[in-house]
Amino acid sequence: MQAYLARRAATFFVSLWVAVSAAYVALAAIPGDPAQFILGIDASPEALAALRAQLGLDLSVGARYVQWFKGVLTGHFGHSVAYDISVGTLLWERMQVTLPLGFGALFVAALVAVPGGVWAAAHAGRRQDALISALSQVGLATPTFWLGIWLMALFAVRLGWLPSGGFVAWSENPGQALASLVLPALTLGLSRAAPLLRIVRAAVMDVLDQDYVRTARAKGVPEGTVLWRHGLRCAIGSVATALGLEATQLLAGSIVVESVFSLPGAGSLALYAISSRDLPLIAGTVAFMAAGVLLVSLLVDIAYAMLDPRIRYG
Amino acid sequence: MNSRFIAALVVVAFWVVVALIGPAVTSTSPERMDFRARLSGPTTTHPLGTDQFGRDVWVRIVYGARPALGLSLAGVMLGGGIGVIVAVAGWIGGRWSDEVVMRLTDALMAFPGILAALLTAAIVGPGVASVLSALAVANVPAFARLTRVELLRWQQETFVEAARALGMTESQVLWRHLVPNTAPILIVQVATALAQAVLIESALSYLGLGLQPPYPTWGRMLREAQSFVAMSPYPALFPGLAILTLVLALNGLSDELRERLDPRRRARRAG
Repeated sequence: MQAYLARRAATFFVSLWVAVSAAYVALAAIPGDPAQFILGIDASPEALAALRAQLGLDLSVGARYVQWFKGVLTGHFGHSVAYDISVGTLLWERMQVTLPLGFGALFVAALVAVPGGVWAAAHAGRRQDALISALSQVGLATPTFWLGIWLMALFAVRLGWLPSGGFVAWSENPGQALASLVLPALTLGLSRAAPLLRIVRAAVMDVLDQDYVRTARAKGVPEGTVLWRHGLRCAIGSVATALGLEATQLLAGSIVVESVFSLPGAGSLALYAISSRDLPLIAGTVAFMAAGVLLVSLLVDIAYAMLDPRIRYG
Repeated sequence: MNSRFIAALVVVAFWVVVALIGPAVTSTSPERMDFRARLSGPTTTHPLGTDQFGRDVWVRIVYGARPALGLSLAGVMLGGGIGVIVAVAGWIGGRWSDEVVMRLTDALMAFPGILAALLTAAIVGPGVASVLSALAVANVPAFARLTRVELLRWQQETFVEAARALGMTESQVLWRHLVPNTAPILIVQVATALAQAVLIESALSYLGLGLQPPYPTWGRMLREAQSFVAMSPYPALFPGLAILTLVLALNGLSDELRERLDPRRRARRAG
């Protein structure tokens, strides 16, 4: 187990190094003068000199790389040119939108996928299963932003139940902040429900094939109890892993959903950074997001190794 | 052949034909504005209606099929090609290089393709390069791992042992026996990845990171239609249906190809 954890931690650091270096390479790969690139051709020599000093362009490429990497390891993701504050502070503010959105989406996805998957597994090979399977196929093929547009058209524009976009800060009005996240979380959650549902169905069907389940049925245990107590409880390991692996997908999805609903999250920050040519912000945001995804997948793997007694790692 | 496979094949073939010859046979330009018919519903002149500038939605969908299929295929082939090359190179280099290659693909697997698109867009501006980089990053790990697993599996087969016993060099065994045998499973993976790639390409276009205007893309058509959905639902409906049908059909096709070409599935079915 310890050897496994050590190996897994080593993979985490290698991955982190690759991701963070990729973000840095993007910063360093701009041909010519990065300060000129950011400020444009009309910039005054004084402004250019100030920005060059701020970006540390007087140092060698190697020294800049070491400085950048050290900063990331200690939680300093650089300084935004457009906002003139640290990228870390900006990201912390934006995570107050992106994190609740991610968790809300995960909740919606589980709420749809778990009962749906168990129900499909209980009716495997029958009409109900075929219906769920067809619906999940459609779910897998539906673009997230398209679903968002139509949910917004229905619940915000037509019925007026929920805000169509934008975000009110939690400190100003928690109720409204929550309301403005309902449609985005529903969009992201529904779009992630289809793959999760297939995993739940497969995992529960695997368990239902086991001898002890047959024994429970033979003893006269009601089908509902068999399904929920044995089926889902034993399948929960693979479902939890799948939920953890969703981190990457949720991140990509949140960038799109934040754009659909004009939410000021980390994803829209990254998009803004590109349009404003804010290189430290884009590199910092990408490094931060990659680090977040890697950390979640590390935690999921560790939790899985500790929780599942059947898994032995050499 | 079952009916589902035929339906998927017909839909994919339809979109391939549209992408290949559609722009050549449509009578109007995707940029032509008909100001008297802005946001109109389907009519005989505009079979799928028009957008906020009076541009024909069908003609724009026809033009948009090219980046949807072409860019997606190019991205999958690029990422897939790199993945296969990297896996084979790691294999040739022996245990250590194999381990390094696998750890690097592990790292890449956790790196969302969309972040690669953001980085590329920051360097060269949004466009073809950002789409291709996102698709490459998304596909390299899957193809590399699959190739490696297949190489390991075929290596244990009797005919490979026989080839070695007959005096074939390691490189001859690799190129004549191992690599060709990985082809069927890689074809299935191309189909699976293509469906995902169409979704990624459309999402990047929607975000403004895909092919730039004036060339129409399905994702950008939906972005533009979003603000006018209360006035006319058609510009926000049909490009989405185009993506949905294409991805649905590609997924159906890949499921069926997997059943036919994946030796493990074939064996299970026969057994």
